[in-house]
Amino acid sequence: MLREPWQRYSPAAFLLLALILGWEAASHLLGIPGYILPAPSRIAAALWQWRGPLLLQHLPVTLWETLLGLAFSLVLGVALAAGMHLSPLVNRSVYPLVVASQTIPTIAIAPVFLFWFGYSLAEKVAVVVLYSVFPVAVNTYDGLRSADPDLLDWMKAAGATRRRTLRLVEAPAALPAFFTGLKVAATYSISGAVIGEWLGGDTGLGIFGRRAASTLKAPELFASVLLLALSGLALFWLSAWLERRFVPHQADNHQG
Amino acid sequence: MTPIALDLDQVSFTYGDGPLLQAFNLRVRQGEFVSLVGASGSGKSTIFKLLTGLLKPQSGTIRIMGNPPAPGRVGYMPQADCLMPWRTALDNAAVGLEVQGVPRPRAREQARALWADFGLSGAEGRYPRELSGGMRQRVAFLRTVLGDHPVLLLDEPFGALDALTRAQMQQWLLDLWDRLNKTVLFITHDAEEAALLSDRVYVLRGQGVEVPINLPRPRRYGMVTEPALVERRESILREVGVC
Repeated sequence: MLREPWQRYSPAAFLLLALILGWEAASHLLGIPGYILPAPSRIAAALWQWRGPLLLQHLPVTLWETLLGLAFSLVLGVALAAGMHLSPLVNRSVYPLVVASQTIPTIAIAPVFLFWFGYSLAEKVAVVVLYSVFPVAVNTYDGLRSADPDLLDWMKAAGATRRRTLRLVEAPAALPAFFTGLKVAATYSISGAVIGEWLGGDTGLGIFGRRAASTLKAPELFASVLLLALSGLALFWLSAWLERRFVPHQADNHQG
Repeated sequence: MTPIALDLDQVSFTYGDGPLLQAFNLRVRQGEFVSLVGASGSGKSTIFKLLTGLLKPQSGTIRIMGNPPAPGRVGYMPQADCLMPWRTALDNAAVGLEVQGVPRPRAREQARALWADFGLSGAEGRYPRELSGGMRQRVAFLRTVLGDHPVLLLDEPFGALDALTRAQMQQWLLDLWDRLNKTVLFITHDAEEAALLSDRVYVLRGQGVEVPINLPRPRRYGMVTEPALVERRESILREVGVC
């Protein structure tokens, strides 16, 4: 049993370290130009140089957009799932649209939000919701339907009302699937925030990276990407922690 | 004369191909332990679904303590234990009351009051996956008993257990039975189990054949080797068509 954090994470940590060292060595030995692939040491230097604006200005803005968007996605996604589960009419009308909405390339439709909301926080949050609501809605919906049919029969035979069946059986049965959706949504949400920022704005890690890219400052670009990746990881860990907290009966959740 | 708890009168039910039950009669008196024995597909589980109101008969009448069947009128223990994996053993038992609208703290309290009688001491906080098959059946049975219905329907409760655990559970049920004061309709495909536990046995074959057991209570598991019980077991098997 891999119980100790050190035992659990050390293989990944070693692999990461080896990759970084290999990358560092390769960029010096092969003489790769800095604007093609900057060495990790250059990225670290850029991160240090820009630490003030990156950590105090851009990161908080992107995180705020992400968290707000994620919160809206949770409310909207769970509401959609519950509606589709409880009402056959809502199910038949909404479900195909929810699925079809995912066939539209998000990045192509996102500019519409610019027309609607302008260069505002709402525009970024809307793009995040566009990315994150689907995994929450679909997973929660599947979860609500995953309740054991024998248990549902038992509830019916015991005279349980529809509402009590939802509260005592279907909602708890949906929790694991809901958290799966949350973990997917949490990692998508960062991408949503970046796309939202690319559409227009003046602060945020996406803006910072864009500006760095347009002036061929690869180390700065990579520094912002590193912070984005770490933010996504942190959100994923937070979701996994919440899952362990609220779904304690599931044996060894190994993710996170 | 003890009043009738369960009364199926000329009940017919068809499932697609052919009739599963045709003009079927069954009477269970209050406080009786009656078993239904039959091969799979003979309509045992259908009778339970009719009694819980999950299915409606095409013809005939069904009365439970004088009333037509409706959800919540009998205590039902399904074949699969149907415990909720996200609830502890104690909270799983408490569900039997929570479905009726009893608040959880009070439901827990009532489950605790019977906890030791059901041989569950120490297992309160364990999740179903951490319990043995026998323990899970005890929790499911407690959940059914807590519903406080005078009539209990038990659908092959020991069917999935290994032979030794099953013998222990039969002994345990015999001990508990004398104190429970319930009417029980019990499904099994085990003739020995039916003979050991029941006052009467119905063999589901055609219109149904009644096999009286007429053995004194209290009983104990050791009686399975005594000639009287072996003889009852054989007459059940004869009606099933095995020997």
